[in-house]
Amino acid sequence: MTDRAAGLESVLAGEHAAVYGYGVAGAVLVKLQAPVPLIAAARGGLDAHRVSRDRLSDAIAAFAGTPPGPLAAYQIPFALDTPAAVLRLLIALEDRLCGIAANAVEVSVGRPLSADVLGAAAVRAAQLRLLSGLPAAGAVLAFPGLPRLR
Amino acid sequence: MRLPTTLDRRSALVVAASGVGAALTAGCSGSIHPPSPADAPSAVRTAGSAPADVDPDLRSRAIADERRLLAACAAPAGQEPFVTLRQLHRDHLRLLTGQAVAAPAAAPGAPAAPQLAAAERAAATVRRADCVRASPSLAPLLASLAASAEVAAVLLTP
Repeated sequence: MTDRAAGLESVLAGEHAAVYGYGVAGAVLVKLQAPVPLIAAARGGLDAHRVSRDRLSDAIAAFAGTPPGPLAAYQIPFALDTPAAVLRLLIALEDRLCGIAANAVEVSVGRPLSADVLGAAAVRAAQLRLLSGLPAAGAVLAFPGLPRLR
Repeated sequence: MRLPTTLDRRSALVVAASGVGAALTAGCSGSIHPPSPADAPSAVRTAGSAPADVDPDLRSRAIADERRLLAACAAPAGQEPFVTLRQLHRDHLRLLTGQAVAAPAAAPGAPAAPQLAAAERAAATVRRADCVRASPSLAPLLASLAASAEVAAVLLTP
């Protein structure tokens, strides 16, 4: 791990967690026979996080760093027994990734990548909130990644 | 703001096998320490490194864009997503200027969503480019504004 790439490594760790969470979420949604748009959102999110993960790994390697791998396991914080609970997990994952990416933007190395991750996660979080039935006013955050500024 | 070590973050990510730590979604957003709303405008003005001298210009550009977008969202009262977008831009301006911003007068006609979406996307592109040039203290705010503009564009797109 290098100091130069520390910000990107944090973002990559967040992407690993997101890939894990989306993988679990997709499987649970299928099992629960959730509405097709929810399953599609989970699949689309999984694909997007995989692409981002690979892009971050490549960037860290280009900065002579060693990309951190995923953890052996992650703890799901609550039972995924309904589609609504799964959506709540996905929204939390995206909000968390927004926070990590906003923090990483402070580091100049890889800043454009971190900003890209922040934008993409913020959009997915808003779309998931809309899917969960929230109105527009409740689906968007004024300062994605910086919730304390609200 | 403080950037926690990667070790902090990974320990927050948790290994279920170890039986310790937080859940999958715990941690990192809570580790951010941005300025409070009250002191944020002065804090974001204060840069921590060499590019600090560009910050005033970048902030001024962000303020000008937010004012323009706010005016463009002057939809009839109650019409979504324009009401939400107006509130977003007012929140952005309040933080950037340190002053409350009045809502613009509602325009009689329906706003042109495609044009507004394009304007939001353009603003996102500019903010993201500006964030690369900004000081470490201003960059997260500009990146967040870029992300917010991307979200706004999505809301405006059927």
